[in-house]
Amino acid sequence: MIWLSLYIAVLLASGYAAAAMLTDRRSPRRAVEIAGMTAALGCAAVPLVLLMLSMLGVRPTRPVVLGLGAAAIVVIVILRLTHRLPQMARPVVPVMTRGEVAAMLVGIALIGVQLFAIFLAASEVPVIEVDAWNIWGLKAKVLYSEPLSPRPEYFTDLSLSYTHLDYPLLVPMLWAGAYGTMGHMDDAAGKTWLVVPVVGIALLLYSALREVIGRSPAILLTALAIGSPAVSRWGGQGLADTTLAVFFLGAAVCLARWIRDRRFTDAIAIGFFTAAAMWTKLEGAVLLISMPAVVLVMTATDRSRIRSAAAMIVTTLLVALPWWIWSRGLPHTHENYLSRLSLSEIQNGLSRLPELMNLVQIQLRGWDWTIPLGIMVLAAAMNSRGWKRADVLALWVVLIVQLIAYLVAYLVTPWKLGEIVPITATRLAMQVAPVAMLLAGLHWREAGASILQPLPGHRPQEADVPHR
Amino acid sequence: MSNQQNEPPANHPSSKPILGYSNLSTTRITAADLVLRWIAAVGCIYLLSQVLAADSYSRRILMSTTNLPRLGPLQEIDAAAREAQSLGEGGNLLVSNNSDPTAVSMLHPRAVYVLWPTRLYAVTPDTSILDSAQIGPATRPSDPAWLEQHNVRATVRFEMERFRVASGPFRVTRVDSASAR
Repeated sequence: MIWLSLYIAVLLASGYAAAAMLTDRRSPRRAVEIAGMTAALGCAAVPLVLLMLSMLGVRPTRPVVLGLGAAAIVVIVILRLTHRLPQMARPVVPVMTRGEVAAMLVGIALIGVQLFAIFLAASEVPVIEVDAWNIWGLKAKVLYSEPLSPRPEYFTDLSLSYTHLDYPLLVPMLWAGAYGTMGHMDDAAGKTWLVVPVVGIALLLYSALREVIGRSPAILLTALAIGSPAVSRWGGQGLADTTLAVFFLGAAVCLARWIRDRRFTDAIAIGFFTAAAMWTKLEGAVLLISMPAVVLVMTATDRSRIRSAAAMIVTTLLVALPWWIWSRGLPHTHENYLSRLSLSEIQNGLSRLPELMNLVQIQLRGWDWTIPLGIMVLAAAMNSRGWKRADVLALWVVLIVQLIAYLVAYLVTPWKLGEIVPITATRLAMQVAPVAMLLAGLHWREAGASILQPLPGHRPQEADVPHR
Repeated sequence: MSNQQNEPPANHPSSKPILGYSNLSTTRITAADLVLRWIAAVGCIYLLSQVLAADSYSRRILMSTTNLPRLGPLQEIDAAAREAQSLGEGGNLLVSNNSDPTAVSMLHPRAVYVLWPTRLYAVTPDTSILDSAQIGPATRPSDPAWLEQHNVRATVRFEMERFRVASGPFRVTRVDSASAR
């Protein structure tokens, strides 16, 4: 347990170093925002570095992981000595009614129960989900046992095609990093890190919502994003969905902020999260289309953004490139959605639409997902002013592109819909729920949930001014 | 409602700047805001009741981490796989041709995961397996040179002790290599 705690400390130290480098020191940030970025970036930075090392022939062993932690601490110390650590905003205690306090407590209780259930599943129970052991857990063992160079036999063993030989490797490497630090493969404890992305979702979403709405609505929306029974059911099992969700949310939060505040560092963070999402799951590759598209459209309407848009795209390419190079030649013997994305396949798939709608409706019926969806739709419908804001429109585009990708994947999947939809529909909902709740908050702002007022005599920098 | 009227007193904690703004006591409650707050709060209460419901996964795991559905049968498979590993003298394993195909289909994917990096071969690596149901009836590798090259030290037979639709219990036995292949 000590080694495992140390691994999580390495994740957080690396995440904090990355967050500090990606934070514009000129404007103070809430501690909760830095904490959220720390968790999200840690889940991306550590496995990505370990994967690069593995491609150079270095396995994720204890000295390697601890060396990474030491490097992160050195970076933090240098940033501290050069006064470049993020500036924290002073916490402010709001005046709240009893009703607001009660609502907040309900939200906190829901978040607490979910996190505790996920922690127990992640730290005490062996892997019991088929996809978790077949796909992610097995790859974690492969990555722990052998470096990626020379390419392990596993990746060309067609008899293991059912384990999806061509799936991205970020989550298995997060897992293998834990094994490396522990010094052995114990899947009951070795996936304790799964709590970190969920905590990251909660903190990142709450901090982004707090920029636009009050404390109690922000907590309620955060609770709705991770409060579905599906999140506690799947979150601690060893699947990649919560990790993808935190990267998707991180990219969305930074995109909205970049559109509002034009910070260069936010553009780099969008690129980093986008590439990390691609390294995590096939669904994450959709961000490679939606994020650059939105960034380029924003840049076309405002040429002063060219530098940061270029930085975003270069960051994405640099981080994604090693996977594209290394994964060339992997056998695509299972699913292979990319090869199925032809017009004729999609047209053929349209005949499955009625069955698909029926199955999705069965999976998502009940109030578990209807409530968050209802809040988002209601907030959007009640507050037409939200539709005039560039950040809101951009997030809608990103969310809708993601949902269209899921729809197309279902239309062309080689699986029978009756088999695949019950397994995947709620997991896909988990991936997009945090971004949907962020959108709900952005619309809610226009309903007057919280009105930002400049302090008397304060002249904020341009970068601080939220668009109204 | 005027925001100025809601401005907190100068010495109130919420007067301190955050991002250059005071955004807390200037809350303007509108009808839409109120409706959204109520729905969100009721939604959270509903979800809390769902995650704590008697038959929910979170409730089960909060009560006990050892009494989860599927855990028992999987532990039986894991035990069978480790028993097979102990028969392999530190080398890789081959599933015998006279194994029960249903048992192999059920056991093989989990055993491959549990035993890795020890390999449990049921087919040659150039045979594409997309579904575990294909593994049971597949033809096993039999070329002695191939088996030697892949460090296969033992052939094991998987059987179910009695016919059950659900997984396990399984029996693992080491069989004579010649007869098995």
